[in-house]
Amino acid sequence: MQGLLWTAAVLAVLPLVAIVTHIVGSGFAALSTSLFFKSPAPAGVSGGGMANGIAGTLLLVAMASVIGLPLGIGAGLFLAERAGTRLARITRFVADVLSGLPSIVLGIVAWELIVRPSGQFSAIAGGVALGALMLPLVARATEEMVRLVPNALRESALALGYSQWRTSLTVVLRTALPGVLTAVLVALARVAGETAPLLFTALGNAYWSLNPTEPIAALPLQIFSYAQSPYDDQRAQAWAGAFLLLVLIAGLSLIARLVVRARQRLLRAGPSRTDAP
Amino acid sequence: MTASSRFAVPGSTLGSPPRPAPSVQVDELSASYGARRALNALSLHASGNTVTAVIGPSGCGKSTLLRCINRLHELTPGARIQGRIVIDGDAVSTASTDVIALRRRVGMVFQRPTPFPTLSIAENVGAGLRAAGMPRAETADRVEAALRRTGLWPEIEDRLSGSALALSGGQQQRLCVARALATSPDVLLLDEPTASLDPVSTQRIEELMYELRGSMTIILVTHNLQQAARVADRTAFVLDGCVVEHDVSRALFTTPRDPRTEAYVTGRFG
Amino acid sequence: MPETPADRAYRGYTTLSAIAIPALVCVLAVLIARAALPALAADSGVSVIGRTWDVGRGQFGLLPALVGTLTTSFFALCIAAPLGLGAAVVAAELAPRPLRAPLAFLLDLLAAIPSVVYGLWALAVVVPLLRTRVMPALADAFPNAALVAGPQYGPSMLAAVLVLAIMILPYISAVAREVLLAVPRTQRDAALALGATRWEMIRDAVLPYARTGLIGGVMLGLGRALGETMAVTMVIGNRHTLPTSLFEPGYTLSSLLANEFGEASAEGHVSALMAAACLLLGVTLLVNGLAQWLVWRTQHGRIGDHRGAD
Repeated sequence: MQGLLWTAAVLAVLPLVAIVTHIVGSGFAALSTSLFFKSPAPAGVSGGGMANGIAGTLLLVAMASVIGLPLGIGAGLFLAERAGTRLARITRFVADVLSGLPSIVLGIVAWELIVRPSGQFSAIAGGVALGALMLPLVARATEEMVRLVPNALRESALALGYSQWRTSLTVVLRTALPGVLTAVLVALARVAGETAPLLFTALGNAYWSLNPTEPIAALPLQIFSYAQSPYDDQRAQAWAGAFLLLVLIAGLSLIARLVVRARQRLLRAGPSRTDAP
Repeated sequence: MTASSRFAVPGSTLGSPPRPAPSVQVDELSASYGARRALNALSLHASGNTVTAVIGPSGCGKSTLLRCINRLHELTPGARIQGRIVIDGDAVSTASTDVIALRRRVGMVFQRPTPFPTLSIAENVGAGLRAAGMPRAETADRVEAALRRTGLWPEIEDRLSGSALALSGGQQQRLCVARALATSPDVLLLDEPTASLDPVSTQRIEELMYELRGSMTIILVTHNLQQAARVADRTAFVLDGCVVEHDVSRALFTTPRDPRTEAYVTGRFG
Repeated sequence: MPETPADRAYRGYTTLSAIAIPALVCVLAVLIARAALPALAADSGVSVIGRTWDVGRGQFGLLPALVGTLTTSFFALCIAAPLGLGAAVVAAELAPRPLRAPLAFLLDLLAAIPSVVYGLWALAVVVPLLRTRVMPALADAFPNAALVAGPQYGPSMLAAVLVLAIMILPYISAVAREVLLAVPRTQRDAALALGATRWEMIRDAVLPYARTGLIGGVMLGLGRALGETMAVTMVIGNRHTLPTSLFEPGYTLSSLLANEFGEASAEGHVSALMAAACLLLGVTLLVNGLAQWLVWRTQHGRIGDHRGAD
């Protein structure tokens, strides 16, 4: 039985090895400077790059952060500080359910809310869809991190005459910040690779555009359309795009792990430490 | 060895000018967490410029008493409170009390050192002043004075902008005392301040308590009966949320009148 | 105590943020339900049990996509659940301590790879492999099995099943690992004190205690599979027929949305797709809600109470 379990573990990790080696192999080979600095060439013409997709993804993620971070962190603070209230229980449950919903549904909502009334696909609609996707992730992670802050720290601040908001923001959230930052990076990594919510919001764009009211290109969308392309050049670019996306995500999670480690060091040296002078 | 001989530090630089401090009067105070009652119509008087020790077994309500005096108790979900607390003639337990102002005049030190991990040593000590709106530039003198009073100044003088977490446990706790002192409170609440400290650090804190009552009224919750006997002018024994006996420390420990007090101070329970 | 304006502003900000999440879900539900409403009309052509999808003639049978969603998820779960649970037991209990964190990290990394990258990989590697090797081998091995009969193109239900299984596996093992780590020490100690070996302790004390939470983890994986869009869309073949074999191309609700929503212009078409979204939401909500509840129960120790009673 133990042998079977070990086999399962190996089989579970195997696809990761296969995918990563394939992407690094095919993707790295297709990397070129024009990839970063040029917009796509017309189909069938060789050359061109994914500069518009890279810029688009960055802009979309930035717009998502503008929506998802303040609300997500605020909700996380509420969940941690008023944990027992009815609203907290409802929000916590709904956030968990929301983060399990198919992401394409959020695309549909943004379409119905923004694209349909305005009559055109736009970067804003994509940003809203990704922001909504981020919201529950950031909220739940912020809650967890804020809860790690010892209550004694909060009470010390209050006992010094700090007001509630000052205690919450300058002492509690400030102490939990490395953890919250980690959570934010993980959430960013997650939305940066999302494709489904962008299909009928940001739509994609073969040209360079940073206009928030127009369709915008995004790396995942380009990978999606190039993957099924009959042209070798585009398929190679799909791999290069996947490689970039993977590097972006691995980079973000690596930073996140470093932040976590720094934080653990901090907590270990923290208020509970007692030793001889 | 009597307390006074032990703590009379010749030529002490810790001294600060004596200052009359207010009395703290607790009347019929009841407090509960949800269904659990922590204080049961407890009454206690602490005279100005004295150290009053509160002793009793775990869960008797000692800490809750302190947390009611500076109104931290009511922040716990499900907490309820009844009764009256009067400091210097002002009722501070009413709905219209300015809680922030109250907490600025009533300092508190907790069982475990709680330096703010993101602030430097100097910023930690000045935190209460900054919260009260004092510009950063003006805090330096008060910070230094508070650190000098706790005797921490010579040890950390050269790393005021370093992290408070680099200090030892005993230093961290003295830092927390300095942080509480910086706003010049006239009441100081100490919740087992030496419970997690080594003997040397404990002695430092005890010396400080003894010295501080010249300028403030101190209420000390402690598990350590010897500590109460050493530093407190008066001691109250609390059981099940009520004061069983409240007397001059020497009398309470040597000739307790209530059998329950006797059982506790002789170590037969608790 | 009188609240200062700044305190009130802070409380208002956090409270509003907390309300935003349920509000978002309400907006989501109302918007989609409202947009799908026309599909309920008798002459809308939308039918959950209809088998024909023909936009031109206004016929919108959702059955093939619904069946495709349910069957691909079911088969993917059959593969991923045992592997994911096994990997979780190894990562949480069996592996030597220094190996546990890296193993968990690798599984987390697997969960972080975007769907579209899985799709790209599956299209380039899995699909050709199925066509040239796996499908012929399966057909030879089970010549009379209807599940593995039919044309051997590559893009198929089977390809979707495989890629889904790979994708939901890390979710299952991540939740299962958390649930296993939440089993109280006393449970383990009790078994060890009775003279159980490490494996007996896992089998007799840890797994039974964690059972409900593990089922919850598997259900969460199922929820993911049901809603998974991009990778499936890229390999399933996207054909509106009721599949009779895993070798045939099929459709799922989410890939139907991915393919047609952006181009839908006719009102009837849009409301039919909204109905598909409703169906998808209903199925995933049901599965996820149940899963959250099961995981929550284990982590809050209710299971111990029940076990004490029986």
